[in-house]
Order: sequence, then C-alpha cells, then structure tokens
Amino acid sequence: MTDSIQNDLITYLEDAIPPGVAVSKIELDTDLIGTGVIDSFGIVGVIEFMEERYGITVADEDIDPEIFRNVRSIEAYVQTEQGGAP
Amino acid sequence: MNGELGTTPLLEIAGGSDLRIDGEKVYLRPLSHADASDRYHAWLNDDEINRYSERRGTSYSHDDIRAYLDDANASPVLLQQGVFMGEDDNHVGNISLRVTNVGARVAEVATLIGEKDYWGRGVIVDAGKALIHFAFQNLKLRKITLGNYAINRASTFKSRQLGAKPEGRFRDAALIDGKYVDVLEFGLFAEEFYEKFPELADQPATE
Repeated sequence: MTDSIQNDLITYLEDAIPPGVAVSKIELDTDLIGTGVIDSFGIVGVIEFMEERYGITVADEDIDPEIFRNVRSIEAYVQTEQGGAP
Repeated sequence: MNGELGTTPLLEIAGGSDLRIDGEKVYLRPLSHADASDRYHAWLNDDEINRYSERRGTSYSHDDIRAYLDDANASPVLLQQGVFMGEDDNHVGNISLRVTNVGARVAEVATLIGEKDYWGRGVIVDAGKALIHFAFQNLKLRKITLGNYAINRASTFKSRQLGAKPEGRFRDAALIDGKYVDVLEFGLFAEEFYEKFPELADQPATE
C-alpha cells in the first residue's frame, strides 16, 4: 500500500509540474512547496487527485503546507484519513 | 511613522507616492490614474478572475477605477498597492491592506492577480509576504487577517503558506453560483509570521 501511494503521488506530481519549475524528478523527500511543484493553484489539483484516488475528503483545516511538504507527508496524511497506520 | 493611524491617509503614513516595497519576485507600489489601463479594466470585468470575489457580477468603468484609486490613496484605513513583475514592469495585480481595528492595530490583506499568465507562479504569496512584512515592521500593526470562500481552496492554501492560522468559519455566509458557501477567516501575528519567515526578521521591508 505504501509503495502504491508513493508511486501514485510521484506519477501525478511529475505530470503536474508547472512550467518554469526547475524540477523534473520527484523523490520521496523533495520539498514540493519550496521547489514550486505545488503552489496555491497546483494544490487544488493535488487535493482532487487524493480525494478521487483514495476516497478521502481533505478538510479545509488540513489544507496545510506541512501536510503537502513532500510525498512522505502526503502519504502519511492519506493513510491516516483512510484509517490505517501512518 | 508620519501621522496617526486611523486619521492620516495610510499611504502618507506608509511613505507616500514614492513608496516601493520589494518582494523576491515582485515589487509593490501605489497606483495612480496612469495605472487605470485597459488591462486593469479588463480584470475587474472578467468573470473567471472574479469568481471568488465580491466584485463578481459588477461592471466597472475606467472612471470607476480612477475614482476608487483617488478614494483609496486618501483613505486613513486603506493601503492599495499595485503588484509589478518582470523586465517590463508588468502590472499583474493588486494587493491591499485595510485597517479593520485602529485601536487593536489589526488589518486585512486582500489580493487580486489579474494577469492569468502569472497565476501559479507564486506571485500572490510573494506579494503577501512583502506587504505583511511591511505592515508589521513599518506600520507597527499587531495582527493581519485574511479571508476566503471555503470552496476557494487555492486561497486557503495561500493564507496557510503565509503562516496564518485558521480562526473561524462563517457558515453559509456568501452566495456563489446560486449556492450558499462557508467563509473562512485566518489570522497572523507578527511573531508567527517571523517564525515562518525568520530570514525577514532582521531585514528592512523597504530600502
């Protein structure tokens, strides 16, 4: 499950890298916000992907940069929302 | 500071028409009649740009813009700034600071990025950081607030990127596309801002 979520997220995020961002490959600890992979517009697509793919609802209070810091932190959030161990 | 908060025009307190606030990508400066361009006029009348704004559905003329700028620049509680970027100093949007409680030194920040080519390029957060740094350091404000419709998740994320904390939810407090939506409020104190951006703590907000 962990590998699956990580791979799904990396595939989605690499496809969604905005033009002009100097990152082409995303690792588990890549700083998604600092590098510009996720910005205030990109976040909407990431959340929609998570909700559709994993059947969760991202609450407004969880639209928090710390949760979207890197693939590992997003994965931990998804697992928690699914009721599994983070 | 020159003048008294709540009495003197805020632009005068902030430094007058020569004010310039630099961010990392953008710079902010006051707007004059010369800035009431066709582009600016088009932003205010574009449904997509104003989808999550109380401006939507209202028609604005060039004269409306000029009158608004006159009022804004004379206001004791409003600091209206243009957001400029790029080699050609493109006017890409606006950002404002409105003092909502003079005694408590609280102000609300609102943004408009009108040039769609600049969406998703970190412009709002960069402009917000620069203006909030100026508000705390030069205007000695205590607290900044930001608000948005809950369905505008991009704006929620922007507020959190600036270090603001969720403070409230006003249920069904706005009407958009025929549906009532919640409005979220966020708050930010200076210590929280500089904890988020420690590199700014000892930097002047203006040259």
